[in-house]
Amino acid sequence: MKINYLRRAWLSMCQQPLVSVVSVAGTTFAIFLIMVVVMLNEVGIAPYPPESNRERWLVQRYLSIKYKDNNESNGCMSYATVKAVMYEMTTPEAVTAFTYGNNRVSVSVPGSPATGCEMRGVDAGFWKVMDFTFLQGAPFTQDEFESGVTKAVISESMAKKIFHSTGIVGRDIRINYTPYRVCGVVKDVTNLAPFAFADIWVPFSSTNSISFSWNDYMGPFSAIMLAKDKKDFKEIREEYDRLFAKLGDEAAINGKSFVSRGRPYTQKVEAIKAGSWETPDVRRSDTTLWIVFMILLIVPAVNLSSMTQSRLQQSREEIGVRRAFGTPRYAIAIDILIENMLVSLFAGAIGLILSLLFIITYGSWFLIPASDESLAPTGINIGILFHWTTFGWALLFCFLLNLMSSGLPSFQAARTDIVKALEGK
Amino acid sequence: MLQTVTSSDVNRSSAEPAIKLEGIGKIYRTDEIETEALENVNLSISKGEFVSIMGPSGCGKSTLLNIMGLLDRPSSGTIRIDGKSPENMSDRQLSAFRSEKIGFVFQNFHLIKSLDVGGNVEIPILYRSMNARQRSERVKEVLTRVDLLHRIHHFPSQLSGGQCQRVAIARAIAGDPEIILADEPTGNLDSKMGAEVMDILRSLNRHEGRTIVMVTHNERQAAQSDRIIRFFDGRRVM
Repeated sequence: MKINYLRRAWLSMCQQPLVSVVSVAGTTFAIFLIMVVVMLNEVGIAPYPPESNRERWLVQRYLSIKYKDNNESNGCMSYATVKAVMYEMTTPEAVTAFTYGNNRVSVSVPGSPATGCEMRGVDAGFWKVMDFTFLQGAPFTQDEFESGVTKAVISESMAKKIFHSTGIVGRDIRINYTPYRVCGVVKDVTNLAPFAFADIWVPFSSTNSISFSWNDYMGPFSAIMLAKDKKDFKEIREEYDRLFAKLGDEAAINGKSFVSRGRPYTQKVEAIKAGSWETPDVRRSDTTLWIVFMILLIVPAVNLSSMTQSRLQQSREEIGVRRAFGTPRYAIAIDILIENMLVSLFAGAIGLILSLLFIITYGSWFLIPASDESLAPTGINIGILFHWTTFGWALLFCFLLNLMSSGLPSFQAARTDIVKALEGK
Repeated sequence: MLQTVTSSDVNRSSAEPAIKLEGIGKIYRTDEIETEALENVNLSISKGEFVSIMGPSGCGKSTLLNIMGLLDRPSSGTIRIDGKSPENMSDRQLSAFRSEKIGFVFQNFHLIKSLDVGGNVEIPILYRSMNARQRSERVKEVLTRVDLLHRIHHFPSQLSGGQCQRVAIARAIAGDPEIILADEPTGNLDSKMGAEVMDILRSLNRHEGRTIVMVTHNERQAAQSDRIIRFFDGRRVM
């Protein structure tokens, strides 16, 4: 016979149906808006295949070099830099270097027209760091990479587009008129995964990207260091700094020095998408996000607060009775908060579902560039959006909204004069 | 202006009185008006006594009952319940003290519509150090006493007025208080149901020794109590 909060919440809502409907709708809309922002933000941070290891990797997307005259070069790394620093690292579980940026190529098979697609040059470590699902075949090996083998892993959509089938391992294709052999077919990769995404992956040792560099250190490569555990980040950074310092000694002879900008970055920092010439300002980014959240919370909370007050007006007699029979003020306030929390959770669940549907339907408008010409479907699936963290955020914001909208009314209700409450005043 | 008539009440037992009021005054203030609801009320009610308070509407009976029940604070004077002054108690202490010492029966029952009979009766013991089973047993015990155990899962809207008041009495005694304050407990009932409620109150007084203070307009019911205290314009006149 302990207080049945669910029933009480329901009855309290039934007492003023219009106010309750508006109140639930307000909460739903607030949580919907907030969760859209959360999910748009989470897409860049939360792990999902094939970037499943985001939580334990450090990213070196860009490199910055300063010259004697204080001018700077900012961009990706050359193969020489990758070899001197990234491939020398022993602390990470795996390291990968890959070409970063647009690399549109033409792919064809004899007797068919050529198809344009996105290609990424990768090393053998790429397949350890990323979490691809191979539908057929396997990736190229380290030995094959080192030999500059002309093998290619292609996406499911790519396979269907050029062969009308996915059972094509061992078949030959031409990439920019160079013959390659298909060694594996993987599930399509979303454009939202900036490091893994492509339609076709080849060993960069088989391309001319190795020799493409300027000022000795800059080139087309980015790298990711996969830690065995997040706790190893500090040790990885120390090793990274040591190796860059060593390379820096050599660069200093030519009047160049490396500018760290706090690299390498965790995925959270990387997701800020700072330019290669900028140091990501995590604090500013977080503050901006929370200001947005607060605005999205405060406006409905103020409105919902008056509705909660209105609903509590109906319960004054009950509060009076409970106070008369010895229920302390804090218990009254807690009970009101719990009842309202149930309503907030109910409305929040609807808001969360609506936000998921919205992002799945319209998310690509916000997240995928209109210029995207990849063959992979641009739709966003629920697996990308829905993690325990998303659920956690939704719960947190329901709780905050509840506290902001019911906190003051519950405090006031708990301090109600018992006699007046019993009289329904 | 009439002076308050103060009589030295007879202590019916050698122990502390159940309720002792000394110089109680109550003034309701608004921005423009001051209304004196009670003026220098002195009263002692012994343990186990059944007292009726009578007087015309607006004479301060209910205000007095609210002050006795620690639901309201007097503007002046002191109150002692079972020898203890609630003056310096925190809200938590006062709530616990009220729950332990005092039960209320209201004219319009004040049952919570969203709770079933069992839930309503359980309210005074919800914050006691009792587990769910002990609370459940206590609820059944008091509902048996008012002959409503079979209605334990019914809601107030499914009960008659008399049954509602019996539930209210069960709720008033659930916490086993020494004092029951009844504000016109039969005011909303027909004579038959009113008689039933009076029987229960009398039984609680005679057989269980509970102190009962009842506000009533009904002379016949008041005559069933040990003592009648009459009020007029916020002052005790007899």
